[in-house]
Amino acid sequence: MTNPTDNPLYNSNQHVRGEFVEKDLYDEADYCIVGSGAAGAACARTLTKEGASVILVEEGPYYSSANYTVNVWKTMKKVCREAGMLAAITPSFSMPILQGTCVGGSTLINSAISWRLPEEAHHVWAKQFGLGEALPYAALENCFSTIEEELHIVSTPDNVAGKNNLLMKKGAQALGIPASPTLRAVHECEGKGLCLQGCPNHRKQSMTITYIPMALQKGARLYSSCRVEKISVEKGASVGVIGHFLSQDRQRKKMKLQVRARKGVILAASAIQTPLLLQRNRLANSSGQVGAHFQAHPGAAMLGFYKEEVRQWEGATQGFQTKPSWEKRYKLESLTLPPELLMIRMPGIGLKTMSYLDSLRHTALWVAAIRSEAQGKIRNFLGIPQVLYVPTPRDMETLRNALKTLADMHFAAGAYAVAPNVLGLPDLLTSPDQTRLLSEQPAQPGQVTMAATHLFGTCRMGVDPKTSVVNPRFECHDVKKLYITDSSVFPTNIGVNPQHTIIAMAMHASHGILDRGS
Amino acid sequence: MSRYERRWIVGVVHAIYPSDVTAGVTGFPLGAKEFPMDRFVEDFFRHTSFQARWGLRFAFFLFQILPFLFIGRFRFFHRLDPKDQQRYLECWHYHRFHVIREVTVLFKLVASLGFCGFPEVQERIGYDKPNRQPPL
Repeated sequence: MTNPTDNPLYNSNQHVRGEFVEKDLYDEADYCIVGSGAAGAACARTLTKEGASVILVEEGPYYSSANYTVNVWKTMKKVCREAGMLAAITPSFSMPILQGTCVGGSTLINSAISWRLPEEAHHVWAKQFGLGEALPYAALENCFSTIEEELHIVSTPDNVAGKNNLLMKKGAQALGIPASPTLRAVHECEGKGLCLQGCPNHRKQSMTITYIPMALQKGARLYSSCRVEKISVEKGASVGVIGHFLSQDRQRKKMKLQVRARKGVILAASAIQTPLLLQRNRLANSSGQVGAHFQAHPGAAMLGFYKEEVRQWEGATQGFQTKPSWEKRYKLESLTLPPELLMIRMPGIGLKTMSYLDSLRHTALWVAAIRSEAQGKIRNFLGIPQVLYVPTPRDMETLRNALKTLADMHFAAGAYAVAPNVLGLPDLLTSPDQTRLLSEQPAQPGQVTMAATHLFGTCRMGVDPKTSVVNPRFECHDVKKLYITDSSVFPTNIGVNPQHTIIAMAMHASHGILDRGS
Repeated sequence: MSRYERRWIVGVVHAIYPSDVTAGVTGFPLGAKEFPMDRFVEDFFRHTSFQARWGLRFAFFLFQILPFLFIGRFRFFHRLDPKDQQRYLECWHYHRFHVIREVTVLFKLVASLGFCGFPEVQERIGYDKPNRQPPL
């Protein structure tokens, strides 16, 4: 089988690897896109398909499949922002945030779960933010259909589900909870359980093997390992970017890249990096909203211990999920973690934690992600990026309910114990009766170990320049020809995994940008 | 990072995945001392960001010097006996202040990324993926 990640175009002169650049470079195109994740790649693919010339600038390196490894640290240090140590930190709460920083962005290291934007979320956007006409659901549906076909979005079949997923199915069925196999952008998954380290069999349809090569095929040029620092603005309109190539260890700046964008600059650097870039450039922030309204889907994990071997690392990484309920505000999913990350979730520390090492193969891991109402902010503090975020009491109530449901599902599926990972509760709950402790516990945010991967809202879209950063055409209110197409424009979080919606929104945005450019 | 600091940090990792005292306690035959954790720690700190690196180094420093405050022992952490090391770790891990608890979660993260990444440990756990590599 040919290796699609190592598409020959990545080795052509259309791809410049910043680590090896020895002199300052200048380039010019119709559009310059900052970021090559779901949003950036989708824009590049759509714009080049319609004949526009595109330059794609990515801060992270190109991570060739020849370097994929099951070792988590080796993967994290190469492809994750801050080597996986990025976190929202306040004195009372902290939450790691995992973001991919490589060609393909987070799509290289996520599970490719694909959900259409819930109609309820679109209704909120239309009603509260006036986006109904400018962002019609029908237009997004067309994009969703295209993506589903191009990225092979299918339901996870039972034969690759693995026991972790099948136990979740059993637990949900026993309790009558609506649930189904996960829809994922994976072509003929082999169930290796290695999505988080980069799919070794190239089944996951990350941007690295789909939209980026498609854009390169149509003439796009890609600069990897290049950090954009300046957005050039002339007469109130963006005209390009200036960045620096990074050394292999990403600690040192090297030569300069200057890009001239004739028709506009598109920011698709994520809900954290896009506002930081704007803040550093003091751009598009007359509303004071850049970096504000940061939203997420904080999640927590629940481990179940089973008498039989589960070997959760065999089977699709995230192959089963409950149907998300807009009213209940949470969604439950299975998740495979490699031992390095799984052990962090084990109760206790030292000897106590270590005593669980031999039980790892008997554990099933399921997670709850909540549609949080909390809003935080992103800011540069003395030059250091900061994410400030604390869930609200209502969020904690939602999480408690979600965790109780997860514990009940584990017991219904045959677990003899669950590890709630909630401070103040026993390390292990050993009978179904004890799960009520989860809903009785008045949990404070810092009492539950959480993590977040879905981020939104820091350059909010809206019709009013006083309360939003971009207009419904994805263009900044304050700077002409400066567009933002990543999830920072989402006015709210959406309650489901956002990759599908991010791609659809970026495609929709690109059509509008093309119309405007012509 | 000086060799003293590295030794302190590696000492914490050894206490989180202890070797010599575990044989009859946990049944797991391997501990962090069996692996070159100093090389992993060096690599870890080389690749993390400025703020994460200094935040963690400060946390390791405080952890090293504060046993007297938490368990009344006037010794650095790496000079405590294994039983007191475990007691001290648990004092931090179950502390009522979030910031203090989180420090041990970070230590656990560093220790787990290193120790659990070694193929020998993964073999014993049953994580039988092809082409396993050490975290070095």
